[in-house]
Amino acid sequence: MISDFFEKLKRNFALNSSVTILNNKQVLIENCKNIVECNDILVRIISSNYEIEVWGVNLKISNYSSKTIAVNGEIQSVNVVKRGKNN
Amino acid sequence: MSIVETVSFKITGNSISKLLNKFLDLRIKCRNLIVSGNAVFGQTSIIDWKSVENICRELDMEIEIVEKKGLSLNLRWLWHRKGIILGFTVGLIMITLLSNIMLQVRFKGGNDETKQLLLNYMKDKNISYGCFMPSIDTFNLELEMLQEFDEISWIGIYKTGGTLNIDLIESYAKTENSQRRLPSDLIASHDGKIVKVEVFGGALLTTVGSGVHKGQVLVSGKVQLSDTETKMYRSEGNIYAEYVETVSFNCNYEDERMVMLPDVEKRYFLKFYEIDLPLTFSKKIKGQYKTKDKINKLSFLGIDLPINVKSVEYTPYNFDVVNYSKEEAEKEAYRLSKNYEDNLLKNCEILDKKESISHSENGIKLDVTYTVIKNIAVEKEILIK
Repeated sequence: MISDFFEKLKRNFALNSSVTILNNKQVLIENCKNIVECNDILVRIISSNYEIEVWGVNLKISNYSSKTIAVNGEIQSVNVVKRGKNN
Repeated sequence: MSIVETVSFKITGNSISKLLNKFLDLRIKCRNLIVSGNAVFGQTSIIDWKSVENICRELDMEIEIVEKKGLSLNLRWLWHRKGIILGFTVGLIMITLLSNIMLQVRFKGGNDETKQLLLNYMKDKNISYGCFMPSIDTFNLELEMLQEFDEISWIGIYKTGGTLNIDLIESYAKTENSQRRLPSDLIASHDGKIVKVEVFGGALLTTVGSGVHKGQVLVSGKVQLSDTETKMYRSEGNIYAEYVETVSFNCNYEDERMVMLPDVEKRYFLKFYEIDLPLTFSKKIKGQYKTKDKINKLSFLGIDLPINVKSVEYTPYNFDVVNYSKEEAEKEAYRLSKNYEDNLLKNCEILDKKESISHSENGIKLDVTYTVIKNIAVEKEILIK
């Protein structure tokens, strides 16, 4: 019940992290908290409740606005792993 | 190429993760960030560059500029050529001004008199050469002009650049056709002796060689066709008579005359369409003066340019009392008599001219007796009871 309420709250206040994949060229991640790792094959980012891993070749990151990161390059995979106690 | 200058940088150090998170937290916009070992390569705008430097200093990382790009950087050389900037700015201002001020009024249709009337009307409404074009309300101006002038039956006003175009159709006043053919006589305007007769209508009551008095009926409109029938006509014709008239011409020894002063001043103007821009800065000319304009038209390859040089000659004058000598007064009187002959007696044949001069205390009097041949027939309506 409470978790449902928080989910609704997050959705209404746009606190959910959003991942947009454009072909295999770009991954746009909104509501980022932290960049944990960044090199030309892996970019690991922490968002609200998830850890997002972008694997690929020649990866470059760009941040155009607050808490939004675009990962450019040849994307091979995107892993979304839930963080927190229940994980 | 971006308008804002961008800086490509290389940052080396151990706290790369911290650096990237700082960028994220402080909303520093970076592009193409590549992490390779202990180095981060990327691009940022010159606006965020100071913040990037501060972060690096804070995290004890080395920063190095790899390349600078941007239109503003490419145009930096212009700063040393201020003339180009000045010329460009002046040109821009000129274009803006010239495309918004009235340079000429172009009429389509209408005669010169109507055009001048409309120009004067617009001048009263503060619409003249050099005024601000967007402030002209053409719709209302059209309506006002149509109401004001009976000479116009239709008017269309529109703007093209610095030109105000006025299309107009005049309402031609119908000539008053004199449909009246009231019966009339021809009477004599002077006493004289008839020398020649041309009658086109009516009955001639006199003959060539006979003398007539002023007011005498020469040709009658009342024609008796038979003993019982009388018909009224409009008399038409020319009756030439020889008569004598005396005219006096006076000239006082003291007279007030316009005297042109020798201090002629010349001013030059740059005429751009209809606007006169003064080329010389000098004091305003005071007093009364006559002006004489001369426009030197400039052309290029046979095409007249809208820019001309106009010179205006200001000749001042005042009114002075002129004292004539006896001879000068006589000369002036003869000049007046000559003017009279040239203007008022131009349709007459002067047979004889007798002159007599009399002197008085104030001036001279020239009496000229003319013997002339002139058409003395004047039309007079017949009033029927």
